[in-house]
Amino acid sequence: MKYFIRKFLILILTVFLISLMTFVAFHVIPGDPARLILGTSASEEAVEALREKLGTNMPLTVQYRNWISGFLRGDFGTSIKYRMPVASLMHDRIPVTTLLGVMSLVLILLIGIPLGIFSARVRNTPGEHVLNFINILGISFPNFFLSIIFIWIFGLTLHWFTPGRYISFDRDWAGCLRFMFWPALSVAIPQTAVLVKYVRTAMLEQLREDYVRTARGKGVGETAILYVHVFKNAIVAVVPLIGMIIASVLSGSIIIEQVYGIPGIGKLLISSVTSRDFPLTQTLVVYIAVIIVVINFLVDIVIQIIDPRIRLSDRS
Amino acid sequence: MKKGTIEFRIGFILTGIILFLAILSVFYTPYDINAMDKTARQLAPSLQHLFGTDNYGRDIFSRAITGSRFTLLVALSTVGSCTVIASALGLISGYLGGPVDEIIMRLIDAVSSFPDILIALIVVTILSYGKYTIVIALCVTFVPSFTRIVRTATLQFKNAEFVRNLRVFGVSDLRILLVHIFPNTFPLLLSTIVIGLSNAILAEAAMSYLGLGIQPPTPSWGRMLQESQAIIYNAPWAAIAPGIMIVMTIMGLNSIGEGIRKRYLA
Amino acid sequence: MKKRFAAAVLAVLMTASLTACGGKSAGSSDAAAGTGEGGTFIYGLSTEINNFDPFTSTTADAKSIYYNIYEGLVKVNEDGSEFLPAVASEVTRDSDSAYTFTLRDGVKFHNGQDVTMEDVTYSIDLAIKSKINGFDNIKDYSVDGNKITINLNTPDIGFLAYMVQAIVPAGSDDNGELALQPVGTGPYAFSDYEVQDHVTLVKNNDYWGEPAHLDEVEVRFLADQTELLTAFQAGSIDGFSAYGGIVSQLEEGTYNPYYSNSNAVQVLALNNAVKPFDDVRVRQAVAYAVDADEVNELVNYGHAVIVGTPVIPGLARYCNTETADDYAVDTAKAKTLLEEAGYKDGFSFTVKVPSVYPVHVDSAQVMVNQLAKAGITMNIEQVDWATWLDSVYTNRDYEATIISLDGATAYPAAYLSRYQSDAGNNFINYKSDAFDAKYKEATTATDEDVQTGLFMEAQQILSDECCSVFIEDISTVRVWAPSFEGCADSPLYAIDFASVSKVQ
Repeated sequence: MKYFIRKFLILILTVFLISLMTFVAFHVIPGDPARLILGTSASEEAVEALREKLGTNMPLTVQYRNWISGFLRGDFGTSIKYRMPVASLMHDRIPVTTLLGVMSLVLILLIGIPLGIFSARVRNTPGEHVLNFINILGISFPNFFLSIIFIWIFGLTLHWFTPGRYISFDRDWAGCLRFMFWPALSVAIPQTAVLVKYVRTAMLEQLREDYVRTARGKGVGETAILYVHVFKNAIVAVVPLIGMIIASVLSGSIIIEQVYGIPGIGKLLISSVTSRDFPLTQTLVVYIAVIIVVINFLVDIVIQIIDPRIRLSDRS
Repeated sequence: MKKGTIEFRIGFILTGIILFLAILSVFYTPYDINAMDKTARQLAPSLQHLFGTDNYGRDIFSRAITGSRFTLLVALSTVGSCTVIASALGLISGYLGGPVDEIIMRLIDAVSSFPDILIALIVVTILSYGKYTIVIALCVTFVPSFTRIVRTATLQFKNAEFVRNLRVFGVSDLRILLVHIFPNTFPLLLSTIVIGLSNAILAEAAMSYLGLGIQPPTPSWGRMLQESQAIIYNAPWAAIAPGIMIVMTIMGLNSIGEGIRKRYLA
Repeated sequence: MKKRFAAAVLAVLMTASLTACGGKSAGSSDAAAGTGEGGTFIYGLSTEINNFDPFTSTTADAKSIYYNIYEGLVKVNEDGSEFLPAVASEVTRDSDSAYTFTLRDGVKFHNGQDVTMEDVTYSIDLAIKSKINGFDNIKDYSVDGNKITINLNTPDIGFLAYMVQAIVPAGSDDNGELALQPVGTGPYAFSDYEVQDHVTLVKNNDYWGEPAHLDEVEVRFLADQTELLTAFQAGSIDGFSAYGGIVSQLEEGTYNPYYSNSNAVQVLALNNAVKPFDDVRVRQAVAYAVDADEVNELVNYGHAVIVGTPVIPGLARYCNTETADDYAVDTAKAKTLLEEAGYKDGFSFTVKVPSVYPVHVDSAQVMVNQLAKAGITMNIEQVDWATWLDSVYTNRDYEATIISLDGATAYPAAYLSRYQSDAGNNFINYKSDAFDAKYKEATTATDEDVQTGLFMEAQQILSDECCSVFIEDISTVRVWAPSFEGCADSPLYAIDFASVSKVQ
């Protein structure tokens, strides 16, 4: 219990540090949202009038204080660029990025775990080298390069999907999934390769353990050993990786959403930074950080449930 | 055959080719990398232009091999400076523990939960886009993971038998840290560095892709990819050439990393 | 040649509009009998429009879209030579500093209400409050029935240019509602909007003038020109605007191109306050070293219009076209000038280019090579748009930059005012008493022909003193899918969707 309280306090501290970093960053980077909205043809007087209307003429420290006090009351403020509540903007975007993330994760697990097990099984055969090669190749493809290739081959040449035409889930769920498959695959491939490597290593380590030898001695078949005993233990080694993968998927989706034109959290984040939209950026950055921190927290708990022998306080 | 030999062979061949091309580009490129020619736009690969030409008639082979020089330079300086900073932070944090450790680790936590692209955008904007500003930006995003690894390794040795003995003999903390603990973190650090290099190349490409990396007309692989995106349908080679260079380099480095892991760490 | 084609299309459209106007009372049922009516057009835009308030959102792209939703008392004709009545049916110039507008009968807002004098005064007050260009010159106004007389502080025969500013319903922006619920009188009405995704416009069936052909226009927001190109190739958008370099990637015959001016002039702006650009000879050397034709060929595939002045060629009446040849490329002369200025071995400088505009980044790359031939080293530094606006445009912390400058109104003052020594937006720090005097003389002139001549002379001064290197109007190609046709020209940065129709 004490461990969880400590973890929770650290979580709050981390999130606060992140919001402070965003504030400092906005303090030092140049840019004026009012001028961005009005463009080059507007006079300085018009810009000043708009600053007043938007409230960006106040010192940033005051804006930050207002944002924090609002945040603590559950009010994330109003976006300067979009002139609507940050909460409603996020409400529309979170499902989009979540869908991209979940699809990527499903692909990663669906391909990565069986392939990892398989590559553990074919150890010391020529198949191992082939798999190894494919795996290293997978890790070596940057996700945006994959995206360009996918758009070129499957979008423009084979017409399997229509680039630039994001279909929302509410409008047409099947069309949405068909479209999102490609960005999800672009995010998934490099991460899958990482997972395969980890699963394989974990399986091989487990196979060396005493209990496996004992099981073998009792005449339990190789397949049964692999799938029942070893897999259960290997998964403990893989769970922490899932947390890392979710974090990579989240940051990977920022660039992928940009390339495929998906209106998700990542695209909104880039837009909020380039338009110097302080309340929106603050909320998005904190949201992303909370997700990452909470997922790591959950990973700890899952490990604890699967294998209580691991003392939580040892993990950093 | 020793463990990891195959990985080393593949790795050294691939990185060797890339290094050779990078060095070659210092002395010789078939064409001026910036020379434009409107009559030679988007030519397919041929004997005159090994990798074809881009939208401005620039020779892609010349640009790709010169790009390798700039990309590798960025990757090496990033990982180099990052290793120095992270080693210091990790050693101090792990060895001293207590409040110092707590402060360093909480900052590291915060930085690592901050989206990398945002960090890069902020650092690059603050420092203005110098040719190599991207190195500092990438370094900031890499320090957390490096620091964690050095810290974990330091923790392992902190309470080891030989360190306790040294303390009994009155050896100073600084000396223990630098002379006795630090060298022991090398094998782990080495494989981290190799993987870090490949991550830095990917990150530089991603940043250039967003316009934050090396400034035009200097070629880098990420920039070339970004510029070729518009002509992907008519001149796919313009994207494929720098893409393949990236894939080859990452494959080479990852193979070496894997080899180190197999031979020295497993 | 291609421009002539666009003009021909325009002529056809105008004839069509005249006939339609003749039978205005017949109503929309008559129009439906004609060809090419109805349908949905999906237009791709490489920036996103995020609010539709015509008083506080005045970026070029925003204006290009809500040109279709809002109208002013007057609107500009295709070549910028005159202002036609719009929400007003008649305009009279009572004196040098007084104009009277008569409200047109039967103009309805998209919400069904008739436009009243109360709406007109509300809109004018709003424009004054929002400090819209030109409205600061309004001394007062008086309303008499369906006529409004506006009195100016100082005489301005170009005042009509400002009256294209939108007329909106009284009270419609009391709490900033216009930003997301725009109501105007234009041929298209706002229908729905999804952040970072699209905005849908529907045909205004009660439009006072010639109604639009299409039932619906969906403007989709994409990330950049590359994405527009990909989306068009994939068939997910029916049209987009791009510069020549992007359009060159499309296969001939798979699209209908409409070539028009972009109505902004791309300039290599030199900060006149920093060394060595404080020396006119150095600026001239740069101008001689830059080959605008080559930039046009390489980046714009020859579609751009070379200029030597900040006034857009779209304002044919005012643009001093002779300045285009003042600095024809001459590397030897550039070197001589540099030597005279004491830079025998050349010099180096940094050009800050906004990374959101690939056309500027590409032009910069071409110019790097050209300047190198004259011994000048130009380093490119990409900056994001917000940084550019802040450090280059507002704080003038730069050596050189490449940008396209547009004007708020279709009037030369909108393009020339920034070159006055004390202008707040004189970001190139140009100081010239000769220009200041000439500009003042031009803007206060009360005879139109005299004024036109004075504006021409003022532009010649800018060129002689080489305040910056004006390159070209980069030109915009509107690319329509083969199933759509028509696109009216405009001296404003606008896309007139009412002129687009389906091919039968």
